[in-house]
Amino acid sequence: MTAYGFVLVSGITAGATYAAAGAAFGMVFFVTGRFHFAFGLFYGAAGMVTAWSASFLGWPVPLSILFGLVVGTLGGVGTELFVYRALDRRAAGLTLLGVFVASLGLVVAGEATMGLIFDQLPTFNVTLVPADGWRVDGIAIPYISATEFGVCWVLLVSLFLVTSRTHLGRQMRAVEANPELAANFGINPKRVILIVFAIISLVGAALGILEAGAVTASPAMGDSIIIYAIVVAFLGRGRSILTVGLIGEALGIVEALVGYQFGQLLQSLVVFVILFIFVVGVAYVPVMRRVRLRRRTAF
Amino acid sequence: MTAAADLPAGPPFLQVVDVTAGYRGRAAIRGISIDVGQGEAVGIIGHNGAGKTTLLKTVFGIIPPSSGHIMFRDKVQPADPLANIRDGLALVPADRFVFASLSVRDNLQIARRNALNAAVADESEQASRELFPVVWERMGQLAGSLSGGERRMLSIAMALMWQPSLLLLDEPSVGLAPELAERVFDALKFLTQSRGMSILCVEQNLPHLLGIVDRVYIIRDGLLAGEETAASLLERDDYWDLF
Repeated sequence: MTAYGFVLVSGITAGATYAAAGAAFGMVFFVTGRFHFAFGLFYGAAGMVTAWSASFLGWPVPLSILFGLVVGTLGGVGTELFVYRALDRRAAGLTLLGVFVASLGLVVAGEATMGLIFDQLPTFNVTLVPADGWRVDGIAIPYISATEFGVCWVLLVSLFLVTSRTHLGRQMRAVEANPELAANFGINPKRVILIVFAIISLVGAALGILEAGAVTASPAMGDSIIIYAIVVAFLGRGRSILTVGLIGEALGIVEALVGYQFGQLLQSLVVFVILFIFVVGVAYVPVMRRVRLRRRTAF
Repeated sequence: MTAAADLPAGPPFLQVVDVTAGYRGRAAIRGISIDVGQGEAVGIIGHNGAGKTTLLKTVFGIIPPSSGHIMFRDKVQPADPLANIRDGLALVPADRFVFASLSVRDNLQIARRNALNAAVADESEQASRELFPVVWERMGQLAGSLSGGERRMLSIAMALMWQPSLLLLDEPSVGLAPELAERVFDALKFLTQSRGMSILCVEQNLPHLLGIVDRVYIIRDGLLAGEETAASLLERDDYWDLF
């Protein structure tokens, strides 16, 4: 029972991270139409510089966190300003593919550059909260897990409030629905897109810093989160951010339970199986609807 | 075509002067000059691809003119929709004219932000409520779930939110049942006659258009082919040669 409890705690913690990353990735993908694969790069960069400045340079942790947030946010905003918009200008018809390829290139180049700057196999640690935790009915709840969970849900609720309760959120949804029409109503789609990049990059940076505090920071630490973010974003498409949060949590719990029951190998497969079922389901439902309609009209 | 002397005289409110504009270096309209007086309703007709929509988009500032200029209230108009909205312009496009995935309330709220202040917005809202009551009965619904006519009414209600002095309309009757189109044009007639709003309207349905405009410009292959009064057009038996 205690083992299951611990698995559940780790699943909920990981799920909260997947949820926040998925909400952020979904926001940038659906509002701006950019397949921002480099989200993971700036997640990693924020974690790396925070851990590096705290452990190697000896900066106070709050200052290191601020540094990480600034680096991650500016990285994302800079990518939109100087890479994606340049692609827009030169090959407007190929933006989706162009952004994806450019984003992938940025990840490869960015991780290699971090490797060069911070040495060959750099790993750094930062202590965000004390290493111990609470114990409830024999189940250990580390402070860092509680912090991760709390921060992720604060981010999710904030994103939810911004998108659903503010004029900026309405502008985002207007740009998502029809950027040309949005311009007819005095909304500057480019400005809205830049704000979306700033928001999601800040969320990504915060998540990267949390991971650097929970495990160890390394240049490639954003490689796996982006896969989870994509899965959660697509599963949660058209739903509210709070529902996206629950989808992320469900994914984290299922993944942790499968890992506990069947081992690490199957655990890493779970996310792909869920994505596969979803993709097949999305393709299958309209086909079945057509078949049923044909049968009905045949009689 | 009618002589210029037959046309109603009035202070030029909007002046499009020798404007050439288009997409990616290709001119869709060339050397167009038109004007609209204060409180006047003017129509634009022409065949498909003649450049009518391009002209409206250029006036609204979405497409910058490659040559010529646009004067509105004696001021050169910038190619900036937001600045033009603040100056009193509104554009209702021909298709995809509401945010389908947003509620009617959110659509109106987006438009409301362009009003000078809350009093102007409230006043516009009240006027639109009287003109299009059905829109206000559907506040919680997604705009995409409205009928074509309701969506068109919503789009005009949105454009009226900041009390524009010049309303640019692109094919307001397209896709509407005749009685709905008539309701929309009745509302437009009310706006020009009772509220003194200027209208520049692109429309293929001439009987509807001639019911609200004073003059009509004819565009053919991106060039201004002529100008006629609504009265002279109403005397015609057919309009085929105009297109």
